[in-house]
Amino acid sequence: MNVRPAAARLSWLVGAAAFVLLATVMSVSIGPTSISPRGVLLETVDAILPGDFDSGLTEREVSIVRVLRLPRVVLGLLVGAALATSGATFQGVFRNPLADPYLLGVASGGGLGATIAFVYDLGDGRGFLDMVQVLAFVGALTAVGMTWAMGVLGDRTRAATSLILAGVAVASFFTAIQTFLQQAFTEDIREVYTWFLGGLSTSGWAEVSQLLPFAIICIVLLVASSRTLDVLAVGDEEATMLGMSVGRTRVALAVLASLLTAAAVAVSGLIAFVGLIVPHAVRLVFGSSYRVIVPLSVAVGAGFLTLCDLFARTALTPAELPIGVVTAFFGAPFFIVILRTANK
Amino acid sequence: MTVTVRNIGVAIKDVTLLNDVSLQVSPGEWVSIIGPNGAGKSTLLRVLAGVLDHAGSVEINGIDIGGLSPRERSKLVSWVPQSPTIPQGVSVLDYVLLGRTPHLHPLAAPKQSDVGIAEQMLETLDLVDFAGRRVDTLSGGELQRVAIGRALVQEAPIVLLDEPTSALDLGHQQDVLMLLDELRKDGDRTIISTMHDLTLAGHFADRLLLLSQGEVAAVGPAANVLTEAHVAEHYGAKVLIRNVQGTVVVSPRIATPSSFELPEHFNQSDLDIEASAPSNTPSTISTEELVMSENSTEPLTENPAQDKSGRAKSLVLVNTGDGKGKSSAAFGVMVRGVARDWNVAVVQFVKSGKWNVGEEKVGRQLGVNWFNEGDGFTWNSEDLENDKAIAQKGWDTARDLIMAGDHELVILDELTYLINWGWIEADPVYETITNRPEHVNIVVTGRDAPAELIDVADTVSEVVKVKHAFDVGILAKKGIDY
Repeated sequence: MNVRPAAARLSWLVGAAAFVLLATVMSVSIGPTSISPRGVLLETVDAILPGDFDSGLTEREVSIVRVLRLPRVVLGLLVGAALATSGATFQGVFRNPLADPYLLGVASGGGLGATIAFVYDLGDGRGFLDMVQVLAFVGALTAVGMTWAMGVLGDRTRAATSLILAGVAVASFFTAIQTFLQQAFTEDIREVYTWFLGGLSTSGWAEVSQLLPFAIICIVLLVASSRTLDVLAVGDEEATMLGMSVGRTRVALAVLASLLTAAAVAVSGLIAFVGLIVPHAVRLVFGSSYRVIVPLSVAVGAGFLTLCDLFARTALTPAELPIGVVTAFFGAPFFIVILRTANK
Repeated sequence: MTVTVRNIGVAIKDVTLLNDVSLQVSPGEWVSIIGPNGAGKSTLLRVLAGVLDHAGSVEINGIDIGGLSPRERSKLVSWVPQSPTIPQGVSVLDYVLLGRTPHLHPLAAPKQSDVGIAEQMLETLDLVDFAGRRVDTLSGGELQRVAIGRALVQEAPIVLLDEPTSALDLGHQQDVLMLLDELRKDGDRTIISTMHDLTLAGHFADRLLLLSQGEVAAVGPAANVLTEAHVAEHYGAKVLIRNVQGTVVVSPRIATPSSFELPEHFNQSDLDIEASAPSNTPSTISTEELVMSENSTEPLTENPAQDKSGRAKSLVLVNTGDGKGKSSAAFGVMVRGVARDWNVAVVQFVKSGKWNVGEEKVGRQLGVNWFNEGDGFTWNSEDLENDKAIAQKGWDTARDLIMAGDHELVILDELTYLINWGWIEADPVYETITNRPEHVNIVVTGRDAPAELIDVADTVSEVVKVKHAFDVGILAKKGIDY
């Protein structure tokens, strides 16, 4: 039999890795100061591997690469991978194509947390464990927890639907408080608004080191459990009869995806669209099995967000576009092209 | 594995869906749950699958499945839903592979051995060409097979099927049910299904469980459960119930039994011996083969109607299906007996004398002593005591015929039913066959012959193919494993 079970083929994974590498090198090379891609590649390898060798870059270029651009690019990769992975997971867990990483209230909770930090001048969103990040993270998880508490009170046979509805209710509630705060502290609106559109301006490696442990643990576990999402695709009852503890699995996966999203939101604000569209694009091009969608979403999300960030910071130099604007502006038409092509 | 269902009750809010349902299912058995809409058929199946809260207990080999995790349970019980959820864009191979979930760690990918099992199943189900097809592009019949495949690769000994044929046309219904029956026998599986079609339910299942308003109304073989009285009481339907070649056929009452007549194409010329063998019929039975050869490799004995010790033979013709030609084969032997100038007698049990067609007329024309003692003892009779009396009378006739020794060949058509249903005592039957006069040949036909009957036979033939094709000469005792 020459039909193989669905899985991310080696060639696809190699291609995806090449895409990520290309996006990385391009993003580090391009900027107000152009740096040779070869130098960037060597310098990146030098930064990762122990030992020291000459990448051929000047000292100023080296510091641009290492201190300014590389951390931002790596953060973009991690945030993109995080959002796309958790988006794919939520779509599978809730069998809902409209699900995105913010489904259970992460956005509204994170938004409220960040708003509180901004209006009470507790931080500016940059640096290691800045209060904007901490409160956004805490707020996001609080909202998810409340959604869950409300959702499980509902009809057990419609657990998935109950949770989504609870998510909507919790989001409205948190947004109401956050809007009230914004109205009470109008001088901070611009700062809050910028955060809401998302961005990867960093103060260095601090944000990366904060997100990295969450990203590695959660992404590895979510990729490993992608087959579970295929089982859930036949519905709760059939999945149960196939031996799955549906309730427990759903909690575990949603907790992992929410943690991952909250960690990403804490350092990058609310970047729209990536978590919704990347999994769909992967599905349309490579197939419907989550054993394909999840691992490829990691790479495509990472590369896509990094390229969007490249555009965001270079298009209107020296000004920066909010990255959420770019992801939507380029992502939407690109997605429509894929949709049309795949349907033919 | 034995499934023991004890005092199941299900109530949702104040509505009672099941009340005090008990059932025991033996290993390898096929039990079909029947009943009108809303009787609780699917509810009972979901209780058995362990996905519905209920009172009472479901035990498999003594283990209460209520205490098992979904994973442990799914290794014992698999389920084919009535209308499976069809995931978008998933290949048939991947869909069947989902059935391996109970055997995989949640974080693990399917192993090569799992893929091998799924591929093997596609071969069994004749779905190899579909392996790469998306399940959302399959027809109803294909999908049903794929869903069955997914359940079977779970390798659970108990398979639950919710209306496995409801979405299928007549041909596909038969295909799927015959396939299940084969897979059940090959894999030693127990099947519990719900079925709408009463005739199919009765034909394929060993026993039927009739549910009505959440309670057990009847349980037993099709002949006992599918009665006009039961159907009228619980379905509110007027039906005609007939036995056609061993299958209880339930049809809407469009003619009363008294107006039942021969089909038009049965005219007298068909019954003339000279005209009775149209050239396009399959080759007829070789009586010699049936009666004489004990073993296809051994030379025939001098007198084909005797075994090596010179004793006349007893032959048991059995099969597990119906309409495969047991009686036809027996009557073939009858004709050869007449050709030998033997005195031949036929005692026909179970079949109604109303259907006085074909074989009987031919037999009587040939001078065979034909006993229709079973006349009146039919599938739709309601006076069970009377039936029992008639059955006993029929057997008494048969025993006297055999022991009198006036006939060289006595054919006992459909005798096994009397034994299996307890109408007559079994031991006298075996004793009569064993102690019969030396020159009396006996042919017995019937479905599901008891082991003791196989023991007293010199030769057992299992009629396995439809009409007139036989596996002959299977030695008794090593013939069929009952």
